Amino acid sequence: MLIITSLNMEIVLRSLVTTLIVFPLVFFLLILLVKPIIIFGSAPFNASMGWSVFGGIAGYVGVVFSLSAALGVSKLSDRYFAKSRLPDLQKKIVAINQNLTNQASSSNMGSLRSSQIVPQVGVALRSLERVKVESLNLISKSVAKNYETLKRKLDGMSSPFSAKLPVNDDPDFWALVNSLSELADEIETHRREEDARV
Amino acid sequence: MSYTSDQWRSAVFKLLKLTSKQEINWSPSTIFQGDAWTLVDRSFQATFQDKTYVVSATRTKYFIDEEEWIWSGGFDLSIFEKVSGSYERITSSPEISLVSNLFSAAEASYAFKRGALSGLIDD
Repeated sequence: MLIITSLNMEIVLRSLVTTLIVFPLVFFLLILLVKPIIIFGSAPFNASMGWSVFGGIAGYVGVVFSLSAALGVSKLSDRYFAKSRLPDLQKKIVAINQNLTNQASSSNMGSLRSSQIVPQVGVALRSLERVKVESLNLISKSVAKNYETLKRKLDGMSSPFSAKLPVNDDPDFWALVNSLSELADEIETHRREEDARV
Repeated sequence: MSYTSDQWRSAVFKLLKLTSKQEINWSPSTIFQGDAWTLVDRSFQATFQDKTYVVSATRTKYFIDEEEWIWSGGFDLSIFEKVSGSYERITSSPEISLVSNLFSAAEASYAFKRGALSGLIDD
């Protein structure tokens, strides 16, 4: 499945703009130097021809500029969305993490599975993905990895013996808690940076 | 040399683990006092090896401009050492969200130790 994330999209658009400006310009100059007859024709140069060439170039520049403006607008709307969404998400992640640590002291893997707290991490991760903040990608990936590991462990648990193991001793559980707290801090830092920027 | 935030994180993490395994005991504390802008709402202390760790829920005056301010909640972890009968503050942790986890874990373990629900769920 092909997923165009905001990062990919930006790279695509940026290279598109570069291609649209740089290549035609070089091409145009090359023709102008080698065979100016293609552009100006064989007839003697006059004012209307000059204006026509000027108009063509101006129209082209307009298209390129509006394309880059569209890129800027989509970036702005992403930023605004992140600004209004992240505080809520951060609170949610901190709350999930607290629930997780509260589970740790008193329960075993079986009751951790039935408590339905672990799947909430997945929900939070997916809604974080929709916010599209590049600087959070790295850490949210590591959270996702820890989450998958723990979830697979919980799902694959069939024997009653492993369900009786205390949550305390499970390294995968603590890895998830640790990376979640790092993610919450990262979001907080990102928010402060954004606040400082505006 | 100073501690990096990663080292702080793993230190708080270790405290969290010790709490959940009930290897350290938290009890209410008044050692941590806050400062001119910070009020301490509730505070717990635990001793591990020769250090005393105090985790607190705090309220800080957050100034919107020169006059107007609002309370903003937060958490603090400070490390003390007992020197000749009185506690001496060594340092406070940077702001990391794990401290709030530690506070709620300390609160929960204290409530359990004191048997907050014992009269209600016995029968």
